[in-house]
Amino acid sequence: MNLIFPFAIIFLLGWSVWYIISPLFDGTNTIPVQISRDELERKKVVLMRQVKELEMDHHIGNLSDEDFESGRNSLKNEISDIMAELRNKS
Amino acid sequence: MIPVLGSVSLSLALGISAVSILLFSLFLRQQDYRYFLAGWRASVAVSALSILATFLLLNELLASNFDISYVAHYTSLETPTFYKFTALWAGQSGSLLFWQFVLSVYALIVLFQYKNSYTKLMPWVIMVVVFVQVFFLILVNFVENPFAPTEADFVVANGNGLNPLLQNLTMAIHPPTLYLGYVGFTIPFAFAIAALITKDTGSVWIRSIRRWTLIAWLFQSAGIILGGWWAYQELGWGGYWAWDPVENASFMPWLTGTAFLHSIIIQEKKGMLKTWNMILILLTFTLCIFGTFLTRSGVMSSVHSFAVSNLGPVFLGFIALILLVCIYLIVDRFPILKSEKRIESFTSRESGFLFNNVIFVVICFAVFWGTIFPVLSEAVRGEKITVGAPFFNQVNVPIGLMLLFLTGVGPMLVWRRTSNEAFIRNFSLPTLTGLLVFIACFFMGIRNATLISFPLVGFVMVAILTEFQRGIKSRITRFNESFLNALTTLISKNRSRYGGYIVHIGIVLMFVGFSGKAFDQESEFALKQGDTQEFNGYKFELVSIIPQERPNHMAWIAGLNVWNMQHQLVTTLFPEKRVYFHRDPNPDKRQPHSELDIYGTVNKDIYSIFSGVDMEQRIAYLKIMINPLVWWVWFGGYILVFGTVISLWPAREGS
Amino acid sequence: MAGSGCFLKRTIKMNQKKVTITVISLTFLAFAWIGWVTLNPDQENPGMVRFLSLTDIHTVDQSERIRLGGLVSPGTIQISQQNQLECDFHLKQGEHTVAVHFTGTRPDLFKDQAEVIVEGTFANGVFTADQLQTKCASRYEGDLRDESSYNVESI
Repeated sequence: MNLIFPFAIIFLLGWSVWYIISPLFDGTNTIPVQISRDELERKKVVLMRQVKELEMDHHIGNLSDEDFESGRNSLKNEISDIMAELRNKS
Repeated sequence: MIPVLGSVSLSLALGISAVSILLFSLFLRQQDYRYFLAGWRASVAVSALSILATFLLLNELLASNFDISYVAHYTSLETPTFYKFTALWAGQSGSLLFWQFVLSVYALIVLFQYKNSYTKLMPWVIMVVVFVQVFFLILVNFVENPFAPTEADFVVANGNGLNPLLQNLTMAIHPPTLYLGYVGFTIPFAFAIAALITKDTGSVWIRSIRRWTLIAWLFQSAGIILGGWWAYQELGWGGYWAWDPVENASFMPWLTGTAFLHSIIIQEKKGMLKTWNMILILLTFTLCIFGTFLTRSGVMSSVHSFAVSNLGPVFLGFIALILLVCIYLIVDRFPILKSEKRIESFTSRESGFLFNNVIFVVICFAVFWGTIFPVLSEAVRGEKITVGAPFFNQVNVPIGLMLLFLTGVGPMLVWRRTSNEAFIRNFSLPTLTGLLVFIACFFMGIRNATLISFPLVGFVMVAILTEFQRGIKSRITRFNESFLNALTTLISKNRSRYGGYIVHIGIVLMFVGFSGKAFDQESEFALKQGDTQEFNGYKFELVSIIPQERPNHMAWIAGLNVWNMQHQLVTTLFPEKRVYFHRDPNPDKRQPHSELDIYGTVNKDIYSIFSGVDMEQRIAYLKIMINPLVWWVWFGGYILVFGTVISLWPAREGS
Repeated sequence: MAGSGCFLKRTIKMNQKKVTITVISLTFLAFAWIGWVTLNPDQENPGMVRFLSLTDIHTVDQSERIRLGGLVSPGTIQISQQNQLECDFHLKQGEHTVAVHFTGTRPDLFKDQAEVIVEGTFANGVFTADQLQTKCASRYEGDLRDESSYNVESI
């Protein structure tokens, strides 16, 4: 009974250490491309939602016509920038 | 042996957290992704080990291992299993471990959510979270170890048991709910700090932390409301909010957190108030830590007990460190936090948000001031002063009413500038309603604060409904939908906005309940069996006093008939007088307790407390309170939670 | 066209100033209000009450509400025969004692040697209390509101 516990503690320690340091022996040391693509994709989704909200605000009457136009244009520019960047990555 | 395992995993967690921070620093220096992966795993290990330690303590609590001091103090063999479980957060060291547990769960969610999506923020976010974990790990390792052995020179056969006041379902779920709130604010805080450090001021991270803030806010709100509910049902002083330091401690981060939830909307949409948002989230997190400290250290009782509690210096040191680092960061990054746009008009949505923020922060300051005033007064003037509910009510009622007013005004303002036509279109109906309610209240002879609050309630309610109506109308004209269809799609496509309006409705209904406080009535009297007493339009008749012995306590049950003036029986109340541990030979160890009974209606609650009994003369000492409109506080609370859940509900992908 | 744009810009700037000034003055007003309430509490129902020790009690104005803390002297509790809600007892603080008259529901833990806090006024050698709190039973160290709001040992 008493012998199990030291082993349990050693196991806990050994497992933690191995779990943590094992990635250090992996090959890749740069950030995978897919991950930065995902980040851009997420940004795009957020911006598209903002356009939707802008349209809604405008239609309800909480946003004047000129604000709506300028807001939408700047968001659309941002989105096309991101799309261009995404095309570059692929 | 399990206690040893628990202690070891806590120490291991502390050690690995240092390793994790080291690995992230290496990554930031060398940009070698392998360091990031290792650091990520190290932080997973920290959280996993903390969770393991919590389960080990839980195991010991359930197994009643009284060799552990904590288990002996907060449970006994008689404690029902469910309450052995809840004893995890009943005491100091257990609740600190529980803090760490909750933070670890949140941390794991964040770690796995962003596992395959590296952003520049991530290493910093994880590092801040791990840093907070380090603080709590230091506490449970060196200051308050939950696995510390019982210090007694005899074998502890049975523990102290859990206070009967805490043996209540609400009390079992209230602390963890509140903790989920307190701890939850760590995540948006970590994101904000990461954004500050990496100089990312875009709107994308704001989007991702809004969700986290809402989750924390939901739990914080629910925890506060549950606490009020518990106080009302159990403590027997007839109210749900006493402005007690511990309550204030939970209320302050809620206030700044609410302000933050509002002002990040402008940052997202307009790129304004960036510095202000940083200050708010920093304040909220600091107040969460401060709240945990207030609840746990007992500093409020006296400055002297501060020195006794060894938690004090550690906590205050940590708070000071956070404040120093964050203030340095905010000052240093001030130029990049500059607004992209400026507030252009008084009657703009932006300025509505700004005023709402000012009011939240002012209320927070008033609460903070009243809470620490006794400590300040004793430290500075050497004079002990207690600050009670009347102070807080007097200060906060006018400010709170202004906030209520803005709840209605804000959503009806147009971005940038409200034109006169829009102003008239949006405001005429709500204002008319408010005026009508005012006139009605005036002629009903109401002359207290409710003369203002009821018209405001009417104003805000109609304003919110108008807001819904405008959205529905827009959908009907744009997409040719039916009314009901338009309503559901309106909400489901704009969850965060309309969920927010539903929360506003909940708050307004709660204000109805708060207003009822102005009409509270109470009376104390002794009643002989068979006698009646008249009070506030009711007749109270004591029908019976029945003694009853139950497994862990002795109870005397009063049967109290309540008659109205038309001689109709309204209800029969059964408040109880109880003595826990009534068989304990030492009378000082017996614990009397009054279990109250409430007859609740939408209109008013009849609240009865059985405070004393004289069995020889068959006399019951009773305290009766008539509390109008309390029901609305709880109802508004449900609506608030419901609205928040709608806001949080994930939108369907691709829509 | 250019002139009107300039005019617009100026009104925007003016409005912006107006908003800033309003925010600042509003904040200032709020702080003044908090300070005013701190210094001028409601006389009937004051939010701030001094917590005194028995040695200072004679210096107090008759109308001022104060708080006292101490132990109930053993054997001094007398419950009125006419009205069961009234009772008299002696509050002990070290060497000093004071007679207390209390009207209201007595808390569960009110008994000889109990640690209590009373609130009320002091006149003609008697402390008339309308609030009485007891310290929680030592059996539990639970996190209770009563326990955290005062601490009698340190007086």
